[in-house]
Amino acid sequence: MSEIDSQLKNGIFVCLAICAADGLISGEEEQCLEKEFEKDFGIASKDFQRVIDLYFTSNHQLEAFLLSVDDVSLRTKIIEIARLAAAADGLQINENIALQKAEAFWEGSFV
Amino acid sequence: MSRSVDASPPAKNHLAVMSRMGYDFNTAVADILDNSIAAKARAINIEFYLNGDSAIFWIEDDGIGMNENELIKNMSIGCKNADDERDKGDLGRFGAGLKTASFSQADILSVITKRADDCLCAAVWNKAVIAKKGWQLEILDSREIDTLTSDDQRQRNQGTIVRWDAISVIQSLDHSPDKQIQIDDLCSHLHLHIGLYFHKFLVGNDRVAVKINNRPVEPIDPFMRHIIGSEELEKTYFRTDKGDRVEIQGYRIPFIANMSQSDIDLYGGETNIRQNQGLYIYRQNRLIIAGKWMGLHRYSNLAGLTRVEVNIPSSLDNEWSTDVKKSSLQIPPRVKEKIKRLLAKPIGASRRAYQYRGDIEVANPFWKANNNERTKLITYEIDPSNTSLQKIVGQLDTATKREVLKYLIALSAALPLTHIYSTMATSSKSIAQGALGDDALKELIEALKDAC
Repeated sequence: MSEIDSQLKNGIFVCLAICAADGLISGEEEQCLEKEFEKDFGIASKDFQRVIDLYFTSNHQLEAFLLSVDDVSLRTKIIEIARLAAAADGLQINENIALQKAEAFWEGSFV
Repeated sequence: MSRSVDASPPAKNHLAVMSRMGYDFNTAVADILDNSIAAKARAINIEFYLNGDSAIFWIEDDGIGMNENELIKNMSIGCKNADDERDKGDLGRFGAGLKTASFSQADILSVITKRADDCLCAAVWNKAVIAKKGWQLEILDSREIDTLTSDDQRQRNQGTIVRWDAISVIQSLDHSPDKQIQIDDLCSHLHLHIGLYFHKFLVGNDRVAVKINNRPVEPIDPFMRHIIGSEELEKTYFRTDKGDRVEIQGYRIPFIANMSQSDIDLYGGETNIRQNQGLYIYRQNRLIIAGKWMGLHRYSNLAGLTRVEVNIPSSLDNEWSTDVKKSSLQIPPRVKEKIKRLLAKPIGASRRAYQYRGDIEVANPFWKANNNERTKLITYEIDPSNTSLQKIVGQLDTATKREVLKYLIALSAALPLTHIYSTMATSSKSIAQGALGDDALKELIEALKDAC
């Protein structure tokens, strides 16, 4: 397994936390994330699955993952992918709230 | 200041409650089989027979067995914490199944077991002893073990025998022939139950060979994948809090008309096949719920071909509220919503299959289905534009033409729809609609001759 950059790993966690805001991560969401991270960051399927396993063993909340991503261009990309993935099986209200929260948090307007 | 008092139930009453957990014979045996499978058994033999006037039932497996300490631990009630996560392949839940299942069916439960590197040991729970002395487990000596086992059984390298004596359903009968009939009936239903609920364990390279009174149990695949015309639909999954996957696969089973009579009988007849639509929920490959919608969809004839396989890992037991008997569970509300959305496709496939078949049946030159979009009513009529009909009617004088048309309109109106519907719903294969047979043709010719 190639070591995934810590920021990128936290970026994936952000996407997973947004997709899981409705209580579940669907197959469609997971496949969409896997495809997008492979396309944009060259992350192999096997490595992506390990990040998913790490996500489910982590006790952190969305905010903790958001704090761990500093790179502004990465944040933009992460929000783009998260929106795409969360909508893969229909965007649920809770997912939309999480998405808005992540955007507001990174824009510094989240109170 | 408050004080506490010992309010533990008398063993006799506790036992009576445990014996009425709602097991039937099949679910009780299935619970014992779970233990055999968890013990990595490859061969399981079930024997149920009359010995004189009393019935003896035992399940013998070649699993890893137990030593005496393990046996005593496993014979205690609720020997495992339901909140502990189970190992993969462990079908247990509360550590109570063996005892509660056995007490629901018999007065005496004996377990004789052996690990490969250890000696044979046995323990007995006897309801009469419990009622008198409390939860006192009897540990048998070698001489007592000899009376319960055959030479052959004692020479096995490893495995476990669960034996029931004084079986309540048999004891309640007075005459031996009745007892034998009851045993045969129970065995026959048990074959079907195990064949269905454990069908995934009965196939493949790692299959478990299960025999009841020496007759092998055949797997019964509820999705009928071995029958031509069955269709596997989209497979999907989702992950819940713990990251474990819940997998969902839709199926469309074949039309009953395309099934052989032996298959129809195997699946319990036409009515059962239609009614067994819905969710099939598996926990670690063991079927828990067979053919129920669980409030996610309404039972309907158009969805009669829909089967949806849901596989859940045992790590989700608490969330899904699996019960002691492992015969029911509750789908968590958020998962319900998700499954509900995923059901649209398989139900749609069943509906489309029926509608397509319906379209084929009305697309003939003799009948037409008038679908009134405004009133949402459908009428079936003899098609007046049929060339043969027009040719016949064209040759008639006006009065006869009027009589014939009147007759045809009445014939359309009197189509026995309810009868057809009820026959189709119960025994569609008994309808042999087609060209007239020789006898009917002869009768018709005779009738026409008389009319001339």
